[in-house]
Amino acid sequence: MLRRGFPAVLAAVLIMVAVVCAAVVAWHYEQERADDERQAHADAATAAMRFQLGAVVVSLQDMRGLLESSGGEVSAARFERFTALSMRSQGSLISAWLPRVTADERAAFEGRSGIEIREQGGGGRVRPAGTRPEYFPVALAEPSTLALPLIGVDVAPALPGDSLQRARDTGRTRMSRPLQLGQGGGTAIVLFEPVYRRAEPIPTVAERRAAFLGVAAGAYRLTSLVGSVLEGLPEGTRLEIRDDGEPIYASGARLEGAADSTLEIAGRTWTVRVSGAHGASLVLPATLLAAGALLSALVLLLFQVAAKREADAQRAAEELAAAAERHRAVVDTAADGIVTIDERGTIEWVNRATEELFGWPAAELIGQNIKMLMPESLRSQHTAGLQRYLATGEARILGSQGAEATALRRDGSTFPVHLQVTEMRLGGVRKFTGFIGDITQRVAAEEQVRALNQELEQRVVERTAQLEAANRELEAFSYSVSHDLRTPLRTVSGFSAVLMEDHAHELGPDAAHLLGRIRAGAERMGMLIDDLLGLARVSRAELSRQEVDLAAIARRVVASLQEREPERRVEVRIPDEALAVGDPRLLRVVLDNLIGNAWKFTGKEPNPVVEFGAASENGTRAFFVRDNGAGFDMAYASKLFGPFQRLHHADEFEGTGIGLATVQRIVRRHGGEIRAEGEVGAGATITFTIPDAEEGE
Amino acid sequence: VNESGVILLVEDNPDDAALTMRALRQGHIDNEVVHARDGVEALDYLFGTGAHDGRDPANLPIVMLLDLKLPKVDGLEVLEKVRADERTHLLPIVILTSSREEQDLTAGYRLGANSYVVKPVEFGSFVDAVRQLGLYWVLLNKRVAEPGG
Repeated sequence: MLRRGFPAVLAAVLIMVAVVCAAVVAWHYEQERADDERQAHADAATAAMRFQLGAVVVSLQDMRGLLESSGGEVSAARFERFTALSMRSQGSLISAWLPRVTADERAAFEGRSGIEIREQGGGGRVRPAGTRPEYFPVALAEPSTLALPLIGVDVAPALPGDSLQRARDTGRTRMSRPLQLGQGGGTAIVLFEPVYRRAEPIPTVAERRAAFLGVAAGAYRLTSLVGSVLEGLPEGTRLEIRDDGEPIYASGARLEGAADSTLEIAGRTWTVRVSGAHGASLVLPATLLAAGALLSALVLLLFQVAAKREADAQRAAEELAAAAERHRAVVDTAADGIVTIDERGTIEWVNRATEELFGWPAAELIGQNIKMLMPESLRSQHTAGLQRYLATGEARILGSQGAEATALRRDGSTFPVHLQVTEMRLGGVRKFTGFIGDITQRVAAEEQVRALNQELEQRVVERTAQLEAANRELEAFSYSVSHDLRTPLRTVSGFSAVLMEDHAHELGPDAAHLLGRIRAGAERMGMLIDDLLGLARVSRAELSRQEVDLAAIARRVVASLQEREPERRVEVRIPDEALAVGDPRLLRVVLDNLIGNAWKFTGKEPNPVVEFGAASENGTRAFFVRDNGAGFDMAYASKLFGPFQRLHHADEFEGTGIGLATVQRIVRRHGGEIRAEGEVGAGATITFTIPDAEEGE
Repeated sequence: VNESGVILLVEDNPDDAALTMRALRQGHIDNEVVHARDGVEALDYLFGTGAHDGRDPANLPIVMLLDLKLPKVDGLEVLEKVRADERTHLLPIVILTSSREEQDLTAGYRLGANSYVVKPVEFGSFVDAVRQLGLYWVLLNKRVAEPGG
């Protein structure tokens, strides 16, 4: 940024320098222009001054004419009229006639005019004039109110310089050096006009002196002479007037810049200086500077904007390059082969994975038809598919899930691929991109899975056959047991009975008792066989599930028990309804056993109670059979459901010990659970669940 | 009590045969009992063949007590053949067996058995069962076209 910003700063600085230079030039120009203007004003002021003084001189020359025409003898009244008309209009302070009176003529003059010649003495007093070769007493003066004290006073000695004498010698109007009037009267000038005996021009000094009669004098306040000049100058302008270098007038304060103009008049040289007001205008240089600064700032800004734009463009380009790099990296490191083809199937581009998959370098693939990557058998199919797609515009290319196909390597070998094709448009031209995944391993794995499944199925068939055979054997066994095991028992029982009946008299009482025990044993074994066969039947039987009201079954069980032992009085509690989904025949076996047990084990209870009920356990239908009978020791609860397990002695309660095993098997075949709770002498509760939808076994 | 008919007992087990006959006697059923020890003997007797060549098949026993598990020709085969033959198809047949198997029960009734009785192991019960059986079939049951009244 610094490097890039530098030329911008340089340009700005150069512009600034140029502008400052231009401003300086403009400043100079402005100054010159101001100087010129001031000069013009000075010249104008000088001209005005000359005009003013010229008019004064003319009025004095008029007075000279008046005096010469009368040889110096003018009445006071006429002089007053003349001055009132001519001199006052020119701003004259005092107009006077000063005749030359030689020492010889003094007395005659004083006698004739009645005017005593006096002079200004020390301390402001006026006294009779001393003896001098000649006098210039004020003979006539106007305005009389102001000039009356001056009558008879010889002013010549008081006058600075020799302007009076020069007027006499040159025959022309001469001006005195400015003199300060007392009492704040300001500066005044006095002009002298020589008056001669002859009215025509007199060529030489000697002749002039000889013909000289006196001077007409006009005193003027400088301010009144300058007033009209000042009026012609612009506001705020300072006017200075110097008389032979001596400042005699200045208006206003000192100001910068001045223009001088000189004025030669009445034998003196005045310098008129005009200053201020037209000082150099700062507008142009300031405007230039401001414009320059603005331009510099603009240049800087422009450079900055350009630099930022360049930086942005650079960054965008870098980002684009990075994105392209990233895309290339993704595409190059992709496990899938990626191939771009045109509408004719010509390969335009492939990624690195494609080269590795097919064994072709990209350079040898590009420009070739995609068919070179397919085995012969697929080529015509591909051509037809591509043509159909192009013709129909069918949006589906191999389906959104892609398809599986076979691909051809450079070495002629083939491998299974998963192929997905997408369509894109580059610059309005349709292209296709194919994503080719090598699925050799997947296919192999699938093959393996298939083989395994097949093997598994085979094994299942074999196992099923084995199981079926086992079942058949079991059935045959059961059948055999059912028939053949019982028969000898009947023989034992039967012939024991025959012995007792037919030969009782030959046997002692002990023998009869022993025969009775033989019969009981045979009978008991018969029951065992029946129960065992029942248990086996439960395992083999098909489960046919339907809605069953267990309460109704329970009532039937109780009824049959009551029928068998009509003398027993048992309080039975059964709800109106207790629905379950199960095999009604097997559930009947369950309740036969459980309620039968409860009935049996309350046999010694004075107030026997047998209860059947329904409940719910974790959302599963549960049922229980409870009694207040003999109960059992929970320590043996786990043995309760094993076949041939009995917790009571045979002489206490009859039974084979197979009933609960059968019940448990039925419950489990329904997908349920069974458990027993009890206490010796305090009854037992058997709880079992029958899940609704659970498939048994 | 009634001596007008023969009871055909088909039973391979001599013990069971003896006990059955004793039970019948104890139940005062004094009909002649013909004992066939297997299916072949039973069929020979019924159809007048083999050892019973010349016997008139029309002379049907009053009832046949048929065991199922028999050597050579089993009870169900005997049942089938008897029911299939016009001469014997009306013969009252009671299956008297040790088998409580459902399949036997079903097959027996399907093939036309009139009754199915499981032999109790306990002799007292056995005697009861056989006596009741005999009383029913021999004394109470009215047969079709009883020859000679």
